[in-house]
Amino acid sequence: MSRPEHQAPPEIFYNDIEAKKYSSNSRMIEIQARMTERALELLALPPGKIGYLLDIGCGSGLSGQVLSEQSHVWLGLDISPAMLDVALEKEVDGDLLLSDMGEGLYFRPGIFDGAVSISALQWLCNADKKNHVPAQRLKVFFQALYNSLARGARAIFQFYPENPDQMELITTMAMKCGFSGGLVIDYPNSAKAKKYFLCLFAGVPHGDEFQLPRGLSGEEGLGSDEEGEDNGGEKEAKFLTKSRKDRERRKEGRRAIKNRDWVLAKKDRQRKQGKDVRPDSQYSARSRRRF
Amino acid sequence: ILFRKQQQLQFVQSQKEKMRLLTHNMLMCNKGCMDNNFPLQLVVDKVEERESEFIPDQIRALVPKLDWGAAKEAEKAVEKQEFSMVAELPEMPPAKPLDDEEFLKKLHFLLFNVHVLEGKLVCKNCGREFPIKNGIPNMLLNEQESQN
Repeated sequence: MSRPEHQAPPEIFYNDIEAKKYSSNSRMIEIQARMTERALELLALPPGKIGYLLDIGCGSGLSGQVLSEQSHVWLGLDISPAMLDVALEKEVDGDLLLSDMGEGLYFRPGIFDGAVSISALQWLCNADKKNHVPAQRLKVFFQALYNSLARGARAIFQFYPENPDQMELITTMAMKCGFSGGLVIDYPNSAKAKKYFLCLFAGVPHGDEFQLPRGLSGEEGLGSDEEGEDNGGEKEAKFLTKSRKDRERRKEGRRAIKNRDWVLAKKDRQRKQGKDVRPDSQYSARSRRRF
Repeated sequence: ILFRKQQQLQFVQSQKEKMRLLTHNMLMCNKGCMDNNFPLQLVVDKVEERESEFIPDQIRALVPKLDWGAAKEAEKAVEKQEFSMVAELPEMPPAKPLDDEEFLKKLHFLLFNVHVLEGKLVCKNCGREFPIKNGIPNMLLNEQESQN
């Protein structure tokens, strides 16, 4: 069965029939609710704090209901009218907006204490219209999200990456917009239970390096493991902007990655090998922004 | 009996739609106007009052996020409606808003219980209209607009 994003654009894929599953299929409802709870956990709001949250790709309002259960005030956006209709019927507490996240957001800066997104981000990586460039849409979205989040707020995306390239595209675009963060993988050994959570941090709240939460491993009793082997919540990939990564390495006492000295030394080595090397100048190893 | 049933149906139907005035306080123009893109002009065709639970901590969390000018504008947009409570906000927020329970209640009423079901949000800069249908604002851009 091909992936949903390859079958149709989201506003068409999520038609009335598909949307109905989100209100009647109890297994689907349970999975969505559990993923939302996990996303809230990863959001790590101070205990007891009520936040104003953004639900990206809120769809049928299942995730929103979990947010309301914990007394948060939320705003949801989705591209599918059929799914939003389901949310209306559920009489969710949050307000709903019909919009395309790849076109950006339109909120006052810094108002959201956090953002969650359940099963939505992978849709952004697909070009559904002739004028869609996924990389650009991702960038527009992440830039707008970064602006809309309060300082130190997090955005947690549960999504289904198609392949490592897609994952890299997403993380690169997020980093360009100022986010730091990492990928948390729950139940990495189970094909069925494995879940990916992209955790993005909009600025660090206390000037300290952030702690990336650990993925669940199945020790908790949920999710079966065929091999019987336990991965014990190994540390997941953490990604940072280059400047922050270098700062952390220098703190540890190691040199920054591929700095100017390293580049000049390499050029010297290559000259000794007889290769044709550009002369050194004040511009050698200057930091560059891609495209 | 038929008449009553019809009335009931109508009530159930409208119970579903919603857009709280709270949301109006947060929205800017989606086309990317640089100036005067907030607040959007709220044009109201159909408004309804709904009950909701008053949770003081929720309002307290929102007070620092609100734009007071926009809140007053939203209040003006619905002033012709008759509500169960007089939804009037003071010109300026009180000195200690978080402790003022009366103030929090008024804020809760205006922002949470007043729902715009039909209407539109208009950008004061470019004039672009974002329609509100069934209480859901449509912020989708058309093909030309999304080119930029």
